[in-house]
Amino acid sequence: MPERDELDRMIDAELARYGEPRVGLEQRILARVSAQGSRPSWPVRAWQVLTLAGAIAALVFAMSILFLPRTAHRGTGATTARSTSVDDSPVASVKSVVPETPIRVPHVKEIAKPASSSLRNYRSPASPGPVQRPKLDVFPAPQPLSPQERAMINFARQLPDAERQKLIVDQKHTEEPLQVSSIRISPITVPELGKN
Amino acid sequence: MATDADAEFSALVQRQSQFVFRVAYAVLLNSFDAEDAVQETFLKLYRNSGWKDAENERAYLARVAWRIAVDHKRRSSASAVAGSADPMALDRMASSDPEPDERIAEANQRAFIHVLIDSLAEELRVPLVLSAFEELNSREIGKILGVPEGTVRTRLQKARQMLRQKLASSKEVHCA
Repeated sequence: MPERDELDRMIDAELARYGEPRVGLEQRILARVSAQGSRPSWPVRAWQVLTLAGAIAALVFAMSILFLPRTAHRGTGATTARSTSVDDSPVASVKSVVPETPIRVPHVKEIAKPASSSLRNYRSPASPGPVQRPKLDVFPAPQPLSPQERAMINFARQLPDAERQKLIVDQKHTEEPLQVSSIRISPITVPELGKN
Repeated sequence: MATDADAEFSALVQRQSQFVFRVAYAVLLNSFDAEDAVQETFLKLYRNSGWKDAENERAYLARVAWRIAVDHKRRSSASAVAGSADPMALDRMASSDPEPDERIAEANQRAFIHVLIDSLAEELRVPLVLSAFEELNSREIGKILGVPEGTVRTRLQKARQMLRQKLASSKEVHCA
């Protein structure tokens, strides 16, 4: 037992001295801390990061507000121009996103008017959309009389009725397609040789 | 380092640097690696100032230092062989000339015990070194190492038993 106590004493004595550092450890630690120990200001950095993220989110939101209605407006116009029976086209998919509104063909005066100031109706001049034109009942559109036509009318008024009817008939004949009678080609007869 | 906080930190370094060094040395068994780990430990303490709120300052420092030393050991353990890389330990062993002087014999005996401690497994050595400090009981050591208190006591008993056996056998050899 006394030997055991002596062994424990030796072990404890060595453990008390175990791992002695070189002289000047404290100075070296403080020197390194002075050189590299800049305290990071984490709350400030986190605040800056959050501010930046918020600004980016606001910018994205504003861009989505500016551009999404314009896309929807274009889709509606294209739907007006096309046939509404095409459901699987890109226009139809845009239409499904946009809330259902009655499609209205604008009047000619409305097209002539400048675009209103609202964002929904705003259209960039750099990218004009399809221009809405009114549908015409008669094609081609009626044109004013030419000088030759006016002269023909005056001439017809001066003629008696019989002559005027004949002129009208003749005019209709000129407008009718020409009737060409079938051509009959008789077979060529070759004279016999040596009959001269 | 002119503010009060810096002065407080400087006092902490003066107060605990040797203790932190021993914790790191118990893991790394190399004076230079241990000093690197100690500097890294205090650098971390300076940056986060977590030691100010700690209930047991030494236990907190020991936990931080132990983790950093273990990480340090993982990074540099590819080439190093524990126990044989410390030049100071080699110096201690180098003075084992068979001179009859009593002081030299005692120094040799201390160096021998030191090598015996170094040769223990890390799971036995670290609690043994930490137990040498009065502020750290088995419960505190268990918190530092992340093991139950009973495990710490078992490891301490086993470590001391192994050291005693080796010391006793060496004495028998010398006496013979």
